[in-house]
Amino acid sequence: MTQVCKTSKAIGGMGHSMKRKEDGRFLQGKGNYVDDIKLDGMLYMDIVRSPYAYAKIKKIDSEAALKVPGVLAVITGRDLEQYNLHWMPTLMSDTQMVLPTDTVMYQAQEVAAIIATSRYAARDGREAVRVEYEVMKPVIDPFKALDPSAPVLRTDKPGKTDNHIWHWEVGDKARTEAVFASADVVVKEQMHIPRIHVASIETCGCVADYSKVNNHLTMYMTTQAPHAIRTVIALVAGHVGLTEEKVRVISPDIGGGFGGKVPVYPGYVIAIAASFLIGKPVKWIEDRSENLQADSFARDYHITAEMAGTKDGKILATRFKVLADHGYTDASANPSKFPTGMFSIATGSYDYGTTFMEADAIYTNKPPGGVAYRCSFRVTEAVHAIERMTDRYALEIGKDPAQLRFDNFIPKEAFPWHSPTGWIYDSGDYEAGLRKAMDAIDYEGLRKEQTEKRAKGELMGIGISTFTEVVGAGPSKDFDILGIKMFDSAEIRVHPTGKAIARFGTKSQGQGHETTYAQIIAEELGIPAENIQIEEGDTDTAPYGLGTYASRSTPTAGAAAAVAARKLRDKARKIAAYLLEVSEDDLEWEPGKFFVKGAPEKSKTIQELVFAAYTNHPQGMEAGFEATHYYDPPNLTFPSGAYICVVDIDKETGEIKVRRFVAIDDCGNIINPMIVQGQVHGGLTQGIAPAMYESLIYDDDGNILNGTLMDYLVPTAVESPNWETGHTITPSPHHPIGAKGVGESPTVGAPPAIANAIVDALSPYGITHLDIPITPFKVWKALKEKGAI
Amino acid sequence: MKLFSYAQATKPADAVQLLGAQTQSKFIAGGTNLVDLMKYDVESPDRLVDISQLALTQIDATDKGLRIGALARNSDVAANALVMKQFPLLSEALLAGASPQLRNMATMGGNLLQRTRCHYFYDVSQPCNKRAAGSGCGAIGGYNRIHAILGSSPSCIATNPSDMNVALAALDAVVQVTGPNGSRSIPILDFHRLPGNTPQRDTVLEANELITAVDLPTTAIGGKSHYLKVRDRASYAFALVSVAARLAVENGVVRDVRIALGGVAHKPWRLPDVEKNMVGKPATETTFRSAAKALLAGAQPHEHNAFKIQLAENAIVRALQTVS
Repeated sequence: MTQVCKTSKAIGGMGHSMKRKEDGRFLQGKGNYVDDIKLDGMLYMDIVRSPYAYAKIKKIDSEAALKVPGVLAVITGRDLEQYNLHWMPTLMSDTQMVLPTDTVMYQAQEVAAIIATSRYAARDGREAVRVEYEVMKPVIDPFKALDPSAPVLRTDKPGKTDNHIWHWEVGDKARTEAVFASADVVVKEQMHIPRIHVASIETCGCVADYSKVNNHLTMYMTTQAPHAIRTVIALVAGHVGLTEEKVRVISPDIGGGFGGKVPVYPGYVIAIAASFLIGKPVKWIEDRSENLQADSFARDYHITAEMAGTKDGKILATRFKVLADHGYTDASANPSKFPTGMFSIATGSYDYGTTFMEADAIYTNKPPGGVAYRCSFRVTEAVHAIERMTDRYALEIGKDPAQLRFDNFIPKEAFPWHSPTGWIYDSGDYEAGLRKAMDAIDYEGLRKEQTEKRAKGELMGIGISTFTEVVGAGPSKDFDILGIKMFDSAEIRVHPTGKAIARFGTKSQGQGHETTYAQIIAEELGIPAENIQIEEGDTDTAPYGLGTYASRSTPTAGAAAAVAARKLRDKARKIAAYLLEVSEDDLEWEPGKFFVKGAPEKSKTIQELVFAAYTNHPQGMEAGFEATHYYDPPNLTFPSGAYICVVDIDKETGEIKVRRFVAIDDCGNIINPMIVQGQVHGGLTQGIAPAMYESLIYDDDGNILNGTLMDYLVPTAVESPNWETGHTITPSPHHPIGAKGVGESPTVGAPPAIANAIVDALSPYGITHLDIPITPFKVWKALKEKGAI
Repeated sequence: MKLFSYAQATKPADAVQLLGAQTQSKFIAGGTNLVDLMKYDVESPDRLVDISQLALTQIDATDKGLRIGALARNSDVAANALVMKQFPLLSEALLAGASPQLRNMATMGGNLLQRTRCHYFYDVSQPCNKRAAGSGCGAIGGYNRIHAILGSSPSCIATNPSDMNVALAALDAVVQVTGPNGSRSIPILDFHRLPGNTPQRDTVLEANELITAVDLPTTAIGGKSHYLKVRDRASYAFALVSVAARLAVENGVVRDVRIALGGVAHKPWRLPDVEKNMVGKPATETTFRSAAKALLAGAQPHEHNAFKIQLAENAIVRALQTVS
């Protein structure tokens, strides 16, 4: 299905590749980020961090630090304890230290904060603080964390006797076991989805501005969810007077979030406490290493994956067992009822009978986290498991992995489709997507070339990923964070002259909301997108919402924008009927105006109707032209994609070259094709990152071995292949504008395509699986072990 | 970071004099390495003598070849028409290193003195004989994937991380220095040291000597050259193994050759005897492979870097095949 633009280019509704409205200020260096905010009398905070992964704090000596010129205070856990602010809840209802009173639990954990008159003085003060530690043997290997001999880490929890956090399971265990027991073919791999970091260009930071006179806190901070943060601050600090009406959270421009700016980090709370105690604004900006070493990680799932099937390629069942390494606290950012997020989407795009999935989460001496890095809550882990195993199964029975997928896809007629784990997939056409990707890349030609190359001993691989995403959390019956339902909101105010401002509960971090939301409203109201200003991030002005992550903005707030705009169109119809002296039923709408059926010369433009709403509205009708909508989605949306990757591997050096990468995405109706393409390019690059480069590595003592961007290999433009993108369009039947969300599809779908391609290249040597990131060294080692070189 | 004083020199002689005035002084030019090391407390000088304003940035043709000022920026050298025409190997090696931003700041002299990327050298909580003489070596028995396989000692297995130095070794460069006792010329192969039991010294440069220029002699070798760098990421990453190769072939026979290796030793690794042996032999994989094995003779792997031996052998053969 293709999409046609219903509005003119001048209106700029859906489907127009309108240039991004926000780029003017970004390209001219006029963005306003947290570190750009400077307030009178502002103080600066820096943080002393632990060099050890697990240690008792014997003494914190601040004397020398307090003598450093400009240093005003050193704040420790003992100071915060007096106000009961030394611990805070996590989004998963676990607890996390703000500052420790007794024990540090991971390397780079906050130990004390320095408040000074300048950033330099704060840093000098940090170096002058002397901390005495008693180092203990940490728990680093997650597989050893449950050994009876392992020390119990969370001794702060009364009665805790092990390092187990929770167990979760879904599916039909007995039936799945029966299918596995009788299946002709069973394949199994142990895989690790590595611990990685979002490494956004802007690190985290805030300016906490507490006014004693007004008993009011304004918190400027890098957050993807300002409203939720306001509520959390009120829950944590309400007892010292910071109740919710006294708190204003402002999230200015954000330089990349990717899930890493959803959590509340200790630094934010310490800055608030410092401003509260001292009565002056306090700025805290992390440096690059602090961001990488201490802020929330993503992924880190160890998965035992199994697939059962027939000899000729029909999938019968899957089984996944997860060990989730959460660090010292469960600070994931999942909807509350979903400890493993949406991992249960791991049945994938395939129609088969049964599955059983279980997960155990454990504590280790590593930084907390588990954020949804450009991913709808663990979908990346799920998709990697199912797509890797699909190829593994194809390899086992000697069947082409594309054909195997065609033979197992959920047929497009079967939607809405009920998955064995309880999801209702809204729509999809997986066959069309894969067919399009195969045509674009000349799949048959590539397989022929591969056969010839293999005969010469050359390594070439082709990898496919046909993934299904689950985004847009979410329907209030299932989705909440700390009890707050995961609706989202839009408020549209149209001024008398027909120009508008719209505000949202979400928060763009680069996604282009200022453009796409304007296009949605333009589509519905016919007011040119150019004339619609979009505002987000200020809790005093924007309607309440849960923020931007997990590809939820278009499915929730985007839907709210469309519904609010339709309320206004209904009002415009009433005004038009009044002005044209006809019944509402006699009016027809075309983008930008109502006209009388059969008499198109009798019409009123939306601008005229809005003006009338302020100047000549019908008696009995409320004046003005404003609408608000809180959209509670009836279901999630299920974007999908078909990605094919071709790699050439240099046998002598292990070097992997991604020769081609075709990505066909289906995100339903498209709001702005250019922005979608940009999202896909960025997401694919963040997809090759864990597939080939990124992984946070710890030694046995819990020291991070790659805590700088010199050693933690973020891919650059040089490493990015030439992405070839395209799309199919299968609208969401339940979403007001048929859109599904796209930001995360490429990050989710790319890693298995790349891993499958590399394993495909190496498969003639008996290699059936390699854990990502698949580096040249890993390839070289695997070939060596198999005697291939 | 420790407090330090700062002085700016306007003439080479002043620079040497300013440096000599205090014991813990350091020259600073582009600062791409020293500033990082100061932030990590690996280096903590009392005084920085800024030499960035000295008139040592020229790249001039001389009767014997090319003279490149010690303060010429890596990016300028890489893009210089004379360098690209006469010594493309140097351009290639420079562009294989760091990032454009770093190359815009880094200088010729600073690159020659670039310090190792050994994790234990950078981590002041760990023992390191290079940083703190006599404290031990964390890398031996530690995580030593990036470390040396050739020419190391029981006190140090660090490598020289520079790409440029490898090219200079293959180009028979000569380093010009000046100091309180006058000027001297140091052939590149004598400039960098093996660690022995004094790994704290990377080069033979005396503490108060200043590099003024690098001379590249025009030779009759002719032929082609190539810099092959194997690394974990295609940009902004140090070499696991690199090869700077120059090869002249006449009638299928090696007429002259230079092979220098990076990422494998405390200094760029070159064995002139191996090169002499190749002369007159057919320019075939057999000759290249046996030369590679000879260059790597006596290689001593550590727990995590044994792969470098095979990788270096493959890389040498590949580089020579590329230029033959």
